[in-house]
Amino acid sequence: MKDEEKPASGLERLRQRGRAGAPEVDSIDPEVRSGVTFMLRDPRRRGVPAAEQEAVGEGIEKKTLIDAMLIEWSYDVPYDKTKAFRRWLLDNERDLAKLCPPHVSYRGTYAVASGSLVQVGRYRTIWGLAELSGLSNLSAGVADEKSAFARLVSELNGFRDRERGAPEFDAIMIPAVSAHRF
Amino acid sequence: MRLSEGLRLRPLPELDACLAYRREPPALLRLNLEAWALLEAVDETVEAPDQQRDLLALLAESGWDLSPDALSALLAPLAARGLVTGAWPPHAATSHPHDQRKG
Repeated sequence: MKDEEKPASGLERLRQRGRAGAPEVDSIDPEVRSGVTFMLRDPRRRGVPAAEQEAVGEGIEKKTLIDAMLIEWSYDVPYDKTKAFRRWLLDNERDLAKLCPPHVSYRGTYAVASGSLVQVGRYRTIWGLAELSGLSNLSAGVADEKSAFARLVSELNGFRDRERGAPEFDAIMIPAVSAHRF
Repeated sequence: MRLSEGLRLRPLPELDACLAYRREPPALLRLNLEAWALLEAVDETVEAPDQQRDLLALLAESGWDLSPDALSALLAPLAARGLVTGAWPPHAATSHPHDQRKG
């Protein structure tokens, strides 16, 4: 039966089904979370306190910070593709790093050797953004289908497990020293 | 018997279920199809004797005991969750509730 044909009456629906089980009432305890708890902003631009800008700049310079902002792709790769995935990385990671758009840097793809994998999968691909414009550049670079960069990113993502319910999680991160909650 | 004051229902026919928001104390509840149908059938504020009769017939066909005590037991989960108030007429199991009101 199509959804639109199902009556919005419990009794009518029960009559259609033709059998009755036991009535049950369950409590729903909603857990509301917002994924946006920090203002996304360039930590080295106008509006950010000078001390925070300095801390971020120094952190990047001394490599205690990876970059001004990070993009993390978390995903799984089906078991039968893992060997080909590793081969692809061996052959293409260097080019991927070289071909990044301005203010974008490829920071590697990692496999989770230990930790919880149920929700976010076994692999992480990390992108560094030197400034906020890198986010637009990365989007534009991936969308430019004629570019070698877009082809490589597409091939990389082609290994992702795209089955329904497969673990997948993407995040944009900023240095905590410059993260203001709202 | 009637629905509790301020009770709001959101049918989910695609899932054979109904969401209920209870105001006092605030709670969100999920009713399965049987509980949802019972809720509709016992609401005295709705003039729906046919619904009550249909429900009872269906329950009887499903092999349920329709004695007053058994019906009270069926309604217990709804009452325990504060979805309904009042008593279910004990005569409903054996005769048409509309006829009872006429008498």
